[in-house]
Amino acid sequence: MSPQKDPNAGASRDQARARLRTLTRVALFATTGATVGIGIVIAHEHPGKSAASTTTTGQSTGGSTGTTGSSGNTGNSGSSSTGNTGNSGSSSFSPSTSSQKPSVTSGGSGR
Amino acid sequence: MIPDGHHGGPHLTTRSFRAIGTTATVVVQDTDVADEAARLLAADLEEIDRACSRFRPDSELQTVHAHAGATVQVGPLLFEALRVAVDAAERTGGAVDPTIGNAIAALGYDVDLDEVLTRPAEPPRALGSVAGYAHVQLNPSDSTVRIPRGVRLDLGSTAKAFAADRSAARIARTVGSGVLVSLGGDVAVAGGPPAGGWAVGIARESSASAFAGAVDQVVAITRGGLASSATAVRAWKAGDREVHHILDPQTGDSVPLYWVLVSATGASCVEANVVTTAAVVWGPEALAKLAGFEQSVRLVRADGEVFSVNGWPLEQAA
Repeated sequence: MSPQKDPNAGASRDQARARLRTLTRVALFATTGATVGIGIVIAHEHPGKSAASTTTTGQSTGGSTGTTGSSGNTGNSGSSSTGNTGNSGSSSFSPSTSSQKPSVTSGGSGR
Repeated sequence: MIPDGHHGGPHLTTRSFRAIGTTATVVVQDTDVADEAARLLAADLEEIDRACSRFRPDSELQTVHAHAGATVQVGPLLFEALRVAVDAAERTGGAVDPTIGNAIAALGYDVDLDEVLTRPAEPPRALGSVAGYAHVQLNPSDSTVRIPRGVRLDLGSTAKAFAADRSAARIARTVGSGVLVSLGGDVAVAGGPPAGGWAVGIARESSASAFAGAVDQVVAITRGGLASSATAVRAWKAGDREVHHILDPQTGDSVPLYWVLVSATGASCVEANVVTTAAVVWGPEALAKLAGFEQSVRLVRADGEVFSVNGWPLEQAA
């Protein structure tokens, strides 16, 4: 009977550890390469974005919407909503009515 | 310069004077800085006039006209005014176009409006051509501009609003107080607003002189700007025809009367002015087209009916 190789012998243990190190390095290298590859694809298809970032899309539609007509400022008759798609990048607002004496007038003959 | 004194409500002080063919007004909350604010506004308007006027023979714009067909380097102020004008044209699909200079001159508005209104009516001339804003080449890298040979620019529709925004910001920074600047009703505010906001009257628009100076509504703004475009003001006789300063770039003629007054608020006076001018040009299509913008707009039709878009309040204050 030929003698069995002791798996716990020193030489075998060293060989096993060497193979494990090699496999670990290969796996680590492959994982890193795949991550970089994914990042390159994302950067190419979505310039300015990070692979880890979450993108929120959509735009503000501002305040109230629609078009309203009235005769002589007495009411809101003839309302017909037209919707409002809005322009991105703007921060417009509606004025409020005021009971103060105006400092200036817009649209008058003083132009 | 007219020291208008204090108004009721918040403690406000006003200074008014004539400049760039219109009434320039600055309103501040601190009386001590009123004269300084007026001095700054007058200096700013002189700069704007020297850069952008199509009437002053020594303006920088006239240099661009004189070298039409060639590339001309211009100063930062004119370049910015041109950029604002071309941007307005792009955003409105050409409804607000700076290349109407020849067309508006052909209608008789070829000198300062005060002179147009006081001289005898001239016989009508053929309508002038409008090249289109796409032919204005701006290069920000070296601050150069090139317009086609024979083209003349009119920055009137946007330069006043641009000037109001620029001056309001500069005055607020310099005097350290909230300020309102109005150039013929194109209003820009900067700095902290007074309690209740800056009150602005919206004119009761009518060609009838009985209503001249009357206010139909008072609204308040706390930031940005408010502008109005009207067809009954800046109007004059061309032969036997009544014409006004808002031109349809597609025809080169005054826009047919549909809206008599359009007012809007915006993140700036320029933002507001762009939609008011465009709405007048768009005529009956304005309500549908304004739905694509964010600005709150009030429109008065020739028959007196008032329309509101994007939340402009129609009711009067209690």
